[in-house]
Amino acid sequence: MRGALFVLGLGLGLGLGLGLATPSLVLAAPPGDAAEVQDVGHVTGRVRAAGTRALIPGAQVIVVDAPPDVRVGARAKTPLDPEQVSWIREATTNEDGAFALGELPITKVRVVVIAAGYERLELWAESTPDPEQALAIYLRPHADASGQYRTEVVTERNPELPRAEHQVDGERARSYPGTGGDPVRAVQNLPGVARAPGGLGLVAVRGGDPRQTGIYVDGHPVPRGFHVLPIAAVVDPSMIDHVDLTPGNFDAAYGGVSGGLLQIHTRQLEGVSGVHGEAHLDLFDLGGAVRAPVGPGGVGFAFRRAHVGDIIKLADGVLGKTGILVPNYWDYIGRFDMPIRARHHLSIKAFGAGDSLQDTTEFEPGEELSINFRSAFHRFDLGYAYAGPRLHASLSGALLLGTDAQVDGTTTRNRNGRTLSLRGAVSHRLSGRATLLAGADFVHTHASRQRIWKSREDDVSEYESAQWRLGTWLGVAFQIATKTGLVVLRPQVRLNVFGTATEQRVMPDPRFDLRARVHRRVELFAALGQYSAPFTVFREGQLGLISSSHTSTSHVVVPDWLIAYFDPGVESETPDGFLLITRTVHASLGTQVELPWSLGLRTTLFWRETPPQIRGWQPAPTNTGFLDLNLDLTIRSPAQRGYGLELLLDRSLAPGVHGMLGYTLLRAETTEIHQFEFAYIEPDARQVPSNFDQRHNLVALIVFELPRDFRFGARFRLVSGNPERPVIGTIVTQDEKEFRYKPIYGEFGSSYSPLFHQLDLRLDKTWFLRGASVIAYLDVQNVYNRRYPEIWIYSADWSERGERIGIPLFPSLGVRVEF
Amino acid sequence: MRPRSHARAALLLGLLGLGCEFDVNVGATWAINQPRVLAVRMEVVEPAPIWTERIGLGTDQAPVAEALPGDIVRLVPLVVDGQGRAQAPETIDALWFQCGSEDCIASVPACDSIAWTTDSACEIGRGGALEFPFPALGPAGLEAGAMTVLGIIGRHPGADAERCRAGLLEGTIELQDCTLFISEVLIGPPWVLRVEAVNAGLEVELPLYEIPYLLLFQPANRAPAPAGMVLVDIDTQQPLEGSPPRVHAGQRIHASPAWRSEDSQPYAQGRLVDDGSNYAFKVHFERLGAHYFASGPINFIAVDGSGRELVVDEGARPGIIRLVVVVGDQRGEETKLPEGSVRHGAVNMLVQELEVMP
Repeated sequence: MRGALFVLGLGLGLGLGLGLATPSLVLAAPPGDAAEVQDVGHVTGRVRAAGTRALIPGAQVIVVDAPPDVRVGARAKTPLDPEQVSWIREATTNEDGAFALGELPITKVRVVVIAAGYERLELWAESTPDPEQALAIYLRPHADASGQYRTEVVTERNPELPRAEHQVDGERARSYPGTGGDPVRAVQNLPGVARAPGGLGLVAVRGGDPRQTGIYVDGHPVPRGFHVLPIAAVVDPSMIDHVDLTPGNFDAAYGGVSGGLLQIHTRQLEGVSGVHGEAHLDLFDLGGAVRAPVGPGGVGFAFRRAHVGDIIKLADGVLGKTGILVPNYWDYIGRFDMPIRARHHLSIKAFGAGDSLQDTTEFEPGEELSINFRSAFHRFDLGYAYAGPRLHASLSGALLLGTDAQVDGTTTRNRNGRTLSLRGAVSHRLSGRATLLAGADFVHTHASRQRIWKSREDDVSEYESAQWRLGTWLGVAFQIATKTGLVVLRPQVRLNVFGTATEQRVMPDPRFDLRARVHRRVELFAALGQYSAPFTVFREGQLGLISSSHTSTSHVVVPDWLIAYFDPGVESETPDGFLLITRTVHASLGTQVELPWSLGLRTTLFWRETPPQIRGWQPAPTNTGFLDLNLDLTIRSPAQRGYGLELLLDRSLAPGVHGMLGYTLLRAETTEIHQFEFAYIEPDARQVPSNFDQRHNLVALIVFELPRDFRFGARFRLVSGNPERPVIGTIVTQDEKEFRYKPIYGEFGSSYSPLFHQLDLRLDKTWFLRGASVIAYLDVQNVYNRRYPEIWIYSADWSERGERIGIPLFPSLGVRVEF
Repeated sequence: MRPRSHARAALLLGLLGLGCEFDVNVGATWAINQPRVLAVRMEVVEPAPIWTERIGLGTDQAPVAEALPGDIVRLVPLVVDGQGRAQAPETIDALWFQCGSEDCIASVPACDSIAWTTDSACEIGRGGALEFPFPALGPAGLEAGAMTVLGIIGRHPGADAERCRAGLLEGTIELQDCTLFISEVLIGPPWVLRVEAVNAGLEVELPLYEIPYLLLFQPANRAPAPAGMVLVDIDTQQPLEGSPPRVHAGQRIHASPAWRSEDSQPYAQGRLVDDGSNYAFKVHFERLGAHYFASGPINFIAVDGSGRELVVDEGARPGIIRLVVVVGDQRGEETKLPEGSVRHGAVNMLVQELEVMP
């Protein structure tokens, strides 16, 4: 009887919701009639999440009588046995996580608290005459549901809006092994993304040049997604909500890039409850973040500073010169979100990132070489958004200020840049079947550059340049409901105008994409579009920190692309406004299948083609730029092609075990480029494999949520090697003094580096305290210490390529406190 | 020159020094751990019946290393296997090309199909010990006193030089079986060379009447042919004992060729004096030098004027080590200023075995 009453009471109790909790039902009267009891007791309290202290509304609170010998405040070691209680009361917490139960006998009680996503809590308490004496109750999140990921599928609400091909949850990605807790680096696990050497930050998609990937933060471009030492993104992980990757066929709202699109979305702070934050310390950096409510809105700030460079300098002082130079980096982000009125939202943001590298080396007796490199940018954003039932609109602007300075033995280079980015977009549901999509974006970059030769300080080259691009787009999203589900067709056209101080080019880009649910578990998608982008002709001013070196005993040969992408430098603009625009066609076709056990399988066939463009160019005479050339040049852009298959099997939004298995089969080629200060392609240049023509790329990532708040993750990668230009022979020149050895190189792409494989593991443990949680983690990359030849070392006579430089087993320890 | 320490620095993440696994354990220049082509020697096997005095009295059996048009000469690749053993030239396949005055290329017509001179760019022939008649003199050959030769030389018996040539032209790894070797074939002796040049209608810088008659008897350059190696324990200053000489792990040894007196040949060098109105001639003796290679656990640690100091690795196991020495001579330019500039020399090869004792 009492058991049945207990169950009935639970059911009724769950039906109650908002407002101060009222006793839902007296299922069984306390001993004696309640009215006869002289002293009336109360049990009140507030329920929060342990660690984050987030309020938990809708938690069920059950109070029953307890044996007299229990210790108040302690946890009940045995679970509630309904057969053993004489009375029972219950309530549900309100919006503020509070509950109150009155008219109880003054006695010891058992309090049972149950909430979805949290562990059940049973503790001993006592009812008191004073209703103000409230219990502070903290529930621990379930090991498989720390409350940090969302299962909501946004696109079902707004099918007309573009959908990124892949989305990486910011919080969940911080626990992925092998990425240093960086959600942006976690994108490298996805199919279509090339393996970068040493796991460094570089996003080259579908075999293309990483510089062709557009990197955006909250809708506006940033000059780079990673710090100069690319182990960390330029945005603090604690402020990243999610990262979207679209390897191709991205929406018409974006342009000016010919590869893929990487979008970093920072956390929205409206509705943040209470003051929360975190602090972390690991081998590379330390940082902190805090978020707090401001009325109905919220404000947040995060900062981070690397100390690995300082540690190495310290090691130099103790162990002797290691010869290793590491830039120190820092970044910060502040954000303020406020709802102005219903459906209207304001957002203000400031963030920045910087890197510095300073060292002095004696490279010959009495001769010192100083290196002083600094690069930093700061961006200030202002945004407005309206989300109505039929109309969505947004308007935002960003002003980015960047400085780069480089001082080496011979020259001083400075660059001050200013980028203004404006974006406005609107989607208006015309009917149940059609939504109008329109918008415009504008990016203007102004830079002033200076170069001073130390040997002749009166020789100063200065110039200013301006580049801009304007894009407007218009399209309609048609939604057709079929028996199996929704079909969404989105024909769009983007009109691009690219301009410099001296010329402008107009390029229309038609784009089309289609999604069709053909079965309750199967969705087809297809896309076709053109993507116009300026071709970067000039590239000078690299620090030269990375270069091949030759001694009497060995040769260290660094691939050109490694130097191009990882050697810090001061970017260059076309001195006299020369523009060469390429047009790339993207095509993709695939399916998304929902499988049992929360698995999803996505299959994509893709094709990317960039025909070559040719333009004659006559550089202006001296004093207008850095190139003192006086000749006619024909500038050619490379013909590029990439095609293949991507497979992604993932279980990313499920409890207990989550992860992904990604595979890419790829072929990518390009015209051979000789990169001097400008890209030079010979008229009869041949097609060669692109630098990231990695034929097979397999990534398996799995994370287990274990008992006692442990979490274990493993990532295994198996990737084909990059094409290389092998040394196929040696020319020995015999003269009277010595033998001189010169390499004979084969054609680029005539051989490939060996197969890459690596296992990374991560283990973290969370301690949930009342007001905070502490996470300690150990992240080990390359667990079995495979030394992969990122760089080859040759013998002095070039006959032997026996050894290599690669990343060894690398452990990283860190701790993070969240409150 | 950029500091080498910077070359690999920032690339490797600066992982507290742990990340930079610089396994610089590839073979040094002198290490022989695979078949190698070490040098190319030219020798006159049958002199033309001109200026027979250049051959000398015949007491020196070292091969003549200077040729005149009409001589039958032989190109010999000096090749060792991975243990430092000399390979018989006849077992080695090689393609030989004359470079002319441009960069050496491997797709040229056959020399015997053209009007062949020392200035031609042509394919001489194929073979590990290729003999051919030395071509007529050309202006560039006269000017340089040498003819540049490219050899595509197999690194071991069984290597196909023709396949290597295909690999070179197509840029494929087929070339890895061979080494491309550029060497200078000496033309001379220089004084009779000028007489022959005038007879062939070429212009010479030094008028013949300025050449003292005795200089026409200067013998042709011969390759040094030391009697062996002089091996001395550095610590005891005693010569190594045994045949082959016995060494032990950790032992420090001084090695030098046992030069013969004939190896350092006399030669005359002339220069303008008196503000260019007269020539003066002076007799010098060749400088002798050696390049050292070794198979096995040896490290070369120092060079002095006469030889090399080497040490047997501490972990050396009992067995045979071979010291391979390419010897050569050096002369100054006979008529060019400034005095002391060095011209190409003649080469030879010695192999000295050492036995590492337990």
